[in-house]
Amino acid sequence: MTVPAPTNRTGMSMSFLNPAQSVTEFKLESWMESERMEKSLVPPSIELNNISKSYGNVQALKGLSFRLEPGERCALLGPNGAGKTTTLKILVGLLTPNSGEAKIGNYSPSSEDARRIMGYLPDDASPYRSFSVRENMEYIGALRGVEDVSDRVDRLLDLLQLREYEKAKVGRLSRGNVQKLALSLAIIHEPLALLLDEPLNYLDIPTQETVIDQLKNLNSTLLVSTHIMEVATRLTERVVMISHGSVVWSGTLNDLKKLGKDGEPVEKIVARMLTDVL
Amino acid sequence: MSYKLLKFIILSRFSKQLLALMLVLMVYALFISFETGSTTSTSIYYYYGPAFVAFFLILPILSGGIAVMKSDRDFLFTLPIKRSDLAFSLFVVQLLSFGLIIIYVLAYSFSSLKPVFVYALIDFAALILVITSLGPITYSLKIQWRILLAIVLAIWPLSVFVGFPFSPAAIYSGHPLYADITSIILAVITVPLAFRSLSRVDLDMMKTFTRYSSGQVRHVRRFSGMSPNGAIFAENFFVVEISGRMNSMGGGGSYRSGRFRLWKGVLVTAVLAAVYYYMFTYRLTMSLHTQEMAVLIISIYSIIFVMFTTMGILGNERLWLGFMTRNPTRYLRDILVAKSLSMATLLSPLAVANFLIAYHGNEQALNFGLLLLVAIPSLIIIVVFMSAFLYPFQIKEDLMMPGQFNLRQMGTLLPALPVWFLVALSFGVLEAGLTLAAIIITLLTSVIMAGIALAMIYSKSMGQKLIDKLVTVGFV
Repeated sequence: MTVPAPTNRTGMSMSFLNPAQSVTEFKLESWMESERMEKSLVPPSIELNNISKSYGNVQALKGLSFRLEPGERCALLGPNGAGKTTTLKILVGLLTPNSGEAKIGNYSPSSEDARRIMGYLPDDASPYRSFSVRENMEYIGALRGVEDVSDRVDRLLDLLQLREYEKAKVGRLSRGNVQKLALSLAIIHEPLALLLDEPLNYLDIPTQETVIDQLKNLNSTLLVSTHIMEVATRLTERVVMISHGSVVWSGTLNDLKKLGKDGEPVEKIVARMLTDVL
Repeated sequence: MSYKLLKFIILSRFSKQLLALMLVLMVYALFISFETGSTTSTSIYYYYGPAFVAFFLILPILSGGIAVMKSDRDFLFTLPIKRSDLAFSLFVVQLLSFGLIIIYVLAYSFSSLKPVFVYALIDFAALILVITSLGPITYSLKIQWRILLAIVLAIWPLSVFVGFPFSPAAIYSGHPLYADITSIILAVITVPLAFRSLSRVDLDMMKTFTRYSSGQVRHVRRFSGMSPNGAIFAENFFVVEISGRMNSMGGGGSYRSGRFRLWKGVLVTAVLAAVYYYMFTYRLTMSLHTQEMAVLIISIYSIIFVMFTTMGILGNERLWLGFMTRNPTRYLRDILVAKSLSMATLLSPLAVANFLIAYHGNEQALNFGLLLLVAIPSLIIIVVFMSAFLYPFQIKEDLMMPGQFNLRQMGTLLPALPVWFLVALSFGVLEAGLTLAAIIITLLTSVIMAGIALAMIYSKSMGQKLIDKLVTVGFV
């Protein structure tokens, strides 16, 4: 079998090589993972390795490393200024780290291949303000190369109860409806890797339940940045806790609960852990 | 009156450096105007004066609004402050943003007004108050009313060209007394209305915001079935967006935007081009110098129009949406190329008319044609890059001032300077009878500007730096 040459498309770095693995085996494995991801829609892994990022004199991330296995759902927790948003922006390729490497599957986050399979919802997301709800969804759907855009838009409009605002300009919408639209724009192409920053902000309780169900049913690797433990416990099974730009704890939600006393709310456990770090 | 409030409101909207520069520019303009002899041709100001008075009267109506920030709405307006103090402070800010602009631009015309100097001072003082007041009075009006008022206030100063004496610009047509009377009456009407509006700014803003944002899109544009490139072209080539956010320093005031389909715009420019061609070829019996002045003024307006079209390009973009669908530098290049081509298409009927006029022997029209077809579309790209590096702002709230005016905003005007220089130089060279030299200068400038624009959009490192900058300053 001819093994494809190491491609720029995958952007694979040798720093992830297992020493026991030969270069040829490694290339073969990366190539096969790429093919699997594109053809059989297998969610990719998400990986950060020793990432550092500074804004002027302020160091936002200091050697941050963690990995999500394909299909895993993980919450990124941390106090204000911990570096959660910077982490997400690096993972979606909008920021370049000063050092270290981020990967979505075998792809570099800024590559077109990674962008094709990624969905992203920033905190306080604002869609195109001069567009209507439908125009936003159709435009992004078309840019994403979604084949049946119109049908997909119709389904999302009904699912998120946005049908009555279909023709409304975004400026007219309440903050909750803007968030619904933003969520639909993040998932319109059914991404295999989904990165969400406070996804349930501004949503009413029935919509929160709809969104939680929808996100749980997506076939994707999910990273959710949040302050709210309820969101983490409802949407994910694992937690990565960061503070001052580094991982301070990582494990399953059950592991986290075990760190507390009997009956102690998980919020208290997290608060205590983060206070100890601060 | 609360001087603390006044100081707070001014300094929260203008950086100290910018205020110092404005003072220097104003003193310089006044110094030049008083020191210049009356040798300057008065015929220049006969056209230049009313044209700019008209422009500065309609600017605050169509684009200005009021210099109110979101934090004012959320905090300042909820404080127990005397309404008259608040209104006065906001009026001073409007004066600095819009009113004083007339001094920078028209003070030079004082040289031609020395015989009627006192009248001119009174006329200018009254006009400054009128221009200051128009923004607060009109920002809450419906767009139809604002357009109607803008048309009236554009025609009024220009009416001096047909001999009407009761015009705010009649000072340039030999009717200083009538000019003063007209301007004073306008000021007496507008200033109290402006104070009334500013004293209840919180209520009016909410009313305006509700009305502004209550619209439904009448004809929903469909992107279904389009390829990704097709969708980018449909949005950025076939639709032209004009964004209003302008003050004397190149940015500020509240933000408005309007969109129209390219074919409708081309229809309008084609009609304008036909009229323009007909007038210049068959109708105008003006001297060559006067024709040159007319083309010069049209050139300046064209560049101002371009500045308006560039303001919203990045301000309305969303990094997490469009930029996430492909490589961000490629997306940036694709939208800028589409917008630049869109502008070239919009202006092409006027460019063709100019080339035809040049063919009939009026050489300065060739310069103008090249300016429209090459220099201005290139300018769009250069201005977008410059403004992104110097003073990027993202529009997250309609009708709100996105941030403080500062010195860096001045930089966004810099790319327009070579074009203005080109216009002035080529006209100067033409006046000296060196037609070939003027054409060479125009061609070279156009080629250089197009080269810079292409280098900017095809440089991956520059594109990436621009995107990094946007992310760092908080673009979502």
